[in-house]
Amino acid sequence: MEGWIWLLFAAMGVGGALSVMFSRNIVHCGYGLLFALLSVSAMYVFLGADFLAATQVIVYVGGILVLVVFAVMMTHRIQAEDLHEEVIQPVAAGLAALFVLALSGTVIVDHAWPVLKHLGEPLPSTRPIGRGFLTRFLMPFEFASVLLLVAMIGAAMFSRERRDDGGDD
Amino acid sequence: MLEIGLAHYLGLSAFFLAAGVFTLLSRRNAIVILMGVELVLNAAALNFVAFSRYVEGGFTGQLVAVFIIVIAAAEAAVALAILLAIFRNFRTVRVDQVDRLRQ
Repeated sequence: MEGWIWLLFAAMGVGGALSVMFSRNIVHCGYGLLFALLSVSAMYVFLGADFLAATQVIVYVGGILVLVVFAVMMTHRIQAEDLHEEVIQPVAAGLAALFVLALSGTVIVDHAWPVLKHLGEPLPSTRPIGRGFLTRFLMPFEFASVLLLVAMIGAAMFSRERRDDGGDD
Repeated sequence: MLEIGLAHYLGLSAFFLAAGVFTLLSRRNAIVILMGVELVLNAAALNFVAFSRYVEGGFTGQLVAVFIIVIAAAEAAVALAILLAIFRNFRTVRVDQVDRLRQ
């Protein structure tokens, strides 16, 4: 039963990714990305990563996707966009993607992964993740904080309207 | 009864990676190219979590996945801000029409 539900969510993600790849309407691309991200979140649930599943929905669906839709609304007249020839050089890109897929597939099938013998029940992950951030991963955690601050300031600077009154904004 | 193992997750992740690479290379709209980058980053994070569950048996992979999400958020914010600036100057976000360094 669990396997079939997994397949359902995987199919949802595959459909979303296909929509991002081939859709001619940029809003449909956004919805496809939404389904792909939700599918990854469901995969985190299956893998027992409860904290990550919630973070995925909050950050990606609630944050990044809203940003993307915002950018779409600000840069396109919806439904008035000329979308013919939206996909260019599909043959070369398809060959590259097929190469990536074949390479990954070969490695997945051929390599003897050292899979654990007994998996055990998934444990609650929030507490170990918090502990990890404040002990072993303290330095990367601080770097990530600084990175987010820099990105926020940079985004605000780039998106500010420049006035043409001679002064250097 | 269908048993889901490590290879299933790796296969799905490989598909996301290929889809992201295809989107990156074939699209000319910069916003959709960004969506391809998000797909690639998600594929990497899914791999980390799958290995964390099936090979490591701990939480290190999940910690790395959190960092990937953080970097993806920072990247999306900066890239979309740059896109808005490009749109103000060029009135388009087609990457093949943005070909001047000065006005």
